Amino acid sequence: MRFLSILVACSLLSGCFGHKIDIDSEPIDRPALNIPEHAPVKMNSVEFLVVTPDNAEDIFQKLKEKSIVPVIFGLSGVYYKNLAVNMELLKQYILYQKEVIKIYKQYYDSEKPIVFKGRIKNG
Amino acid sequence: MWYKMFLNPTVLKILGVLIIVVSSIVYVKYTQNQINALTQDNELLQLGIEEQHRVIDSLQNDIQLIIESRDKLSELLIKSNNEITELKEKLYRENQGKQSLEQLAIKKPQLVENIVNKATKDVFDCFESLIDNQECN
Repeated sequence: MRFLSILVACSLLSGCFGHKIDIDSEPIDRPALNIPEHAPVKMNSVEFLVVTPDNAEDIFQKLKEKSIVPVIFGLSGVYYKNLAVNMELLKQYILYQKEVIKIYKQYYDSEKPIVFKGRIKNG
Repeated sequence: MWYKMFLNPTVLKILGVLIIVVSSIVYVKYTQNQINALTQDNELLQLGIEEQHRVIDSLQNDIQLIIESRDKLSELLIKSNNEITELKEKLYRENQGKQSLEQLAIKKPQLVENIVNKATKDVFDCFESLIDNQECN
């Protein structure tokens, strides 16, 4: 009886050995982002008026002749220069960001490395 | 008794030969299996080596791309700084011993106005080009 119990226990335990579960998993590509393109932008025209003590009256007169309300939102020389530099800084920043986006696209759209999928048997 | 037949030398010889033959067959079978398994392993390892080479090539390409991109961005930053410096030189003419923009504007307001408006239009055109994925210098 004892021998039979040992035999049954051994046969049950043998089920725990020798079975290997193989999980063959592969990475799945993420769905494409497909960002819609921004519509082209048409900038509104801007015209500066250079106003000096000598031509101020002429300029206001011309504005009246063109039926434009004679008000000038002015900038002194220093602030005009600051504005010009700010615009240039923005332009350079956009150029830089465009290059960064191009590099990201080139890098992540390029061919992916191939991963070894073979399984060595009998170690 | 039945085991007495094993004391017979002829039976022993036959048994010995049988054991040798059977063990040889088992050995050959075992060796063939080993050879087959090792051949399969070898094929897989060859495949693995080839794929690893391709992975290494791909990684080297990526590293090359990273180096090129970094160099390109560094160049762009230098170019960008140069352009800003160039603009500042144009705006702050007094630093080069010339008349300041303000003094020039007092003397020739129409000329400065034209220059300023043309420059503004150029900047806006540049923004439009950039947004429309075109080049702008």
